[in-house]
Amino acid sequence: MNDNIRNFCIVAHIDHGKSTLADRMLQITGTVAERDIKKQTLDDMELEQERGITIKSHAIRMEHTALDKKKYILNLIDTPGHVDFTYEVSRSIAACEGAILVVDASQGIEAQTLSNLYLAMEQDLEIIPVINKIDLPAAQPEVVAQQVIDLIGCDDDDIIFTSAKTGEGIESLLEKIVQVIPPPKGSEDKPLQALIFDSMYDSFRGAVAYIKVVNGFIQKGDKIKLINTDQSLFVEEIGILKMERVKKETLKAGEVGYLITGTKTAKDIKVGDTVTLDSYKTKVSLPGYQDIKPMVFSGVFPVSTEDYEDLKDSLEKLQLNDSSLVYLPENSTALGFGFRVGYLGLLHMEIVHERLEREYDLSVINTFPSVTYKLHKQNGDIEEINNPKDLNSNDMIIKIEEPYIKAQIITLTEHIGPIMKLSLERRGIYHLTDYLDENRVVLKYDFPLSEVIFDFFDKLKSISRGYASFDYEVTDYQPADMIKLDIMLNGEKVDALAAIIHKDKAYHYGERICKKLKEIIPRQMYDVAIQAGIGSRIIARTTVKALRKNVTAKCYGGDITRKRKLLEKQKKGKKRMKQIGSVELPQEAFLALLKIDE
Amino acid sequence: MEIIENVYIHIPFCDSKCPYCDFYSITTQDNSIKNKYVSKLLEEIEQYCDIISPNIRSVYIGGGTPNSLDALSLENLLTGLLNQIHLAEGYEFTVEVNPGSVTEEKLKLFKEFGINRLSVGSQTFLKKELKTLGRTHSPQDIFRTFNTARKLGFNNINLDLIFSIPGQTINSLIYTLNKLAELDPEHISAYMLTYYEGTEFYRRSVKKDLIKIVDDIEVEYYDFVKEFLGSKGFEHYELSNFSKKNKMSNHNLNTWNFGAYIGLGTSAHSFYLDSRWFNDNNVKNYIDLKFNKYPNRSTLSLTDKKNEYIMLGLRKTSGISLENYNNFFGNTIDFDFRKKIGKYLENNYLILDESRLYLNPEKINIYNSIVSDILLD
Ligand SMILES: Nc1nc2c(ncn2[C@@H]2O[C@H](COP(=O)(O)OP(=O)(O)OP(=O)(O)O)[C@@H](O)[C@H]2O)c(=O)[nH]1
Ligand code: SF4
Ligand SMILES: [Mg+2]
Repeated sequence: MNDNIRNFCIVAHIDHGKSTLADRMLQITGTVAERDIKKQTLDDMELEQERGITIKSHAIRMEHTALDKKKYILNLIDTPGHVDFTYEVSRSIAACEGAILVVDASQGIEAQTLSNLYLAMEQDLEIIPVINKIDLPAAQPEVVAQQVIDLIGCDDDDIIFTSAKTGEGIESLLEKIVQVIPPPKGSEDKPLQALIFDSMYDSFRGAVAYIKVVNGFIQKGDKIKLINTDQSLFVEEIGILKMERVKKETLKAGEVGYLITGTKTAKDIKVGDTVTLDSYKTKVSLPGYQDIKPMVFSGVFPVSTEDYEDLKDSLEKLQLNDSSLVYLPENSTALGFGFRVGYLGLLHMEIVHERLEREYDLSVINTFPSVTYKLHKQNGDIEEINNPKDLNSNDMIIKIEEPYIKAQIITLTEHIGPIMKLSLERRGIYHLTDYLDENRVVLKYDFPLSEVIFDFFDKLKSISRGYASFDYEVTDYQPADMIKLDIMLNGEKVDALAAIIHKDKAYHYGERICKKLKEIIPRQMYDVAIQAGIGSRIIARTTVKALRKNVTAKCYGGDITRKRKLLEKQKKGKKRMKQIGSVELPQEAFLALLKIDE
Repeated sequence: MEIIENVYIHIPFCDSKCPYCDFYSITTQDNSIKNKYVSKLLEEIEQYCDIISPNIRSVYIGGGTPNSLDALSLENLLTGLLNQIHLAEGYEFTVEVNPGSVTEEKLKLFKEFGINRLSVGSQTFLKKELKTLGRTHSPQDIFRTFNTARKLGFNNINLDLIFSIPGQTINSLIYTLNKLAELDPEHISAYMLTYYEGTEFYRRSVKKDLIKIVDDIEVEYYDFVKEFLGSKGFEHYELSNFSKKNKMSNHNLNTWNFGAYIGLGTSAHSFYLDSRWFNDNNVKNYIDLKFNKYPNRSTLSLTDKKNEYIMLGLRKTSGISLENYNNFFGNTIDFDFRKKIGKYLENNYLILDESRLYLNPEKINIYNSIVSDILLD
């Protein structure tokens, strides 16, 4: 029987306090010793701690004795709030029967509150609304409670008020979880079916799958089958997820835990796959996950070409940790062999870059990201491209289409004006305004994805003094007047710097890019001519004048070693640059195009 | 076997500390410390008698401020030194002097002990710039020191010049250069002001409390200095050094030619065969502790040696003698560096003729960029 199990996730808009709320639950249930509790304990990645955001969902098992004196097993999954990581949320939801919807008492409902709520409702999860941060002076619990009631149609007393800071309300929340979230439905007596909802790579143990046993039970030593990838493997170890992995002999229906098969090849374990026993005649897979579509693509190249194999290996391992990552080999004249990597957004891209550098000790270059365009050719073919170098003028293209999104922007009414202006600049198509209450509205827009994916959100935040929030989903493709903008350095086209740009914006971009590159390219021994062009037409140009001074004035008997080291250091610095023809380009140059407005 | 023929002696005492200077010195007035320091110097030299040549070709006493020793200490130092080493025919013996504090009496003493070259820390001839540099001497002090030295018969005098001092203009630089030329020394060391990490100037420039002359202007000043001194009959023989005919600094040339030398006293460095070693920056320890021979010794790999040879040799306008390189390493420079220098030869940044490899004089201003790029890995 699994009546005493509760599987739930915590979902919310970014920064509304999910991870901090999890801290308090871990504390009260004694899952983590008092002295080991830090801020956002579950955010165990260095990057998460540094940035104070959750990047990856994190599952942990707690034990709790409720008011009825019974002991319950609570499997909690903390999820990220940032829009780029929505996929993490949807995967977590599939392993749960309930969701805690956290809303910041001072911010109220924001865009990801809505989108994550809808995700949970689609999966029929029991929702527990929680209004958090009630300790804040700016908290407006009643106002926000009314927003929540209007949104999900719950009663006043369904809402729990908490402060994850002071711990207020956490006991009631735990009690509520036990009372309203249904126990898992599956049965131990049915054949084994377990969902792989997440995975990671452990450098000692290889691939580790996180599973939820839906039906039946799984034991150490079982010969299992992964249905979708059609892999037969042995269970080397299973167990439950506390702060560390805790070994068990069996995992039964309803339980959440981990599974190690000893496979080192990352590809064997696929998130969304179903684990069953090899011996069954008929193997029925659980509804898996929708294949995720990346929003943007960019080239990832090793700074030194000999690191290519390492990069390949690292991406494969990273993919186990981050199942939304997709990649294919790419070849650039300027940068050599690398990969075209698909991301869910720019934050995701930044995180992948950082992880490759930190966790895998690689030095990599990211090229300017691009969305996927559809090229309609004269012969009726439709080609999808996400790399500027695949857009060739002599390809007989009759039409180019670009991806569009449906966006909802939640804002205070006073910022509607500037937001509408910004949206117009970004080729937005206005649909309607919904009032959440008298001060807050939801604006609905269609945008070309390429116009919002880069810096739209930053701009939105700044014109709304941080209040507006934004969420979107890709809907369809629409025709667009796109052209390829080439960048030339000393007359040579640099394929990795090319970009696909809307025709009306090309001149402006061309000028800005030249200016930005001029700032970034250090003076070298020769003049560097920077040009932007469309086809054979040059639309902007500038020059980085040759370096005029770089000389050590003094060098005598006392400091020869030091001076040699200085020169050697300069030599190393040069190695971090990418040599393109006669020009040395710093790694950041490739991403500089993202920041041309600064 | 190679034997050391060049001696450097460091006197780590100054009357005050200049904010741009990264030489090791302390500002004690305690003569007993200075006396003890001198006796330890003499002890130190003694323990290296096995590797020092009986015929010394150059001695250089620098600092710090050598003339901050009192006359008695100086006499002890020079007497003791000359008891232990023998100067070869045609030797060069240099002492650095501070124009603000050196007296006629001390100059005389130098002359009597056979010192035949003076290096005067003049820096600039404008009061305002001297003040910016934190120097305590006046332009008159420079004239006085120089003229006294001449009167005493010193016929090989170097004047130090610093340019691109914050606030310096091309006109003030011309003024200083004209004054320099009037004095007509045999040698000029002209340094672009460098902001060494750890100095007060460095800190102030980081805080933007001191406005550096920008690179493009600095390089114009440098070009101007080269042109001006050239027109006055000075040969530009090293990045920052200029001399009248046959008056190059032999002591420093030895360093740039990768010759051996021994350094005595705190912070002094030595180079001999495959080794470099140096004394710590600490007067108290130097006085109190027992010596160990070859302190902080490190061994150069063959690659290190080749890189240093190139780095030092290309500082000279005459560059590197192909024959000397060949004699030193047993193979040609072309064999070692061909791959690295190819594109620079093609573009005329480096020039290779039948006997030498040298930097195109027009590219001297980017010496670091070129040299760092051709170092062996
Ligand atoms: N005053 C107050 N601050 C809180 C409370 N809960 C969370 N915070 C703060 O709000 C910020 C965000 O908290 P997190 O727990 O990281 O929020 P999150 O929802 O996990 O954020 P993401 O994972 O990035 O989406 C942190 O600075 C917390 O200290 C609360 O109840 N009161
Ligand atoms: S006098 Fe010379 S050694 Fe002493 S602090 Fe000034 S510049 Fe440095
Ligand atoms: Mg979090």
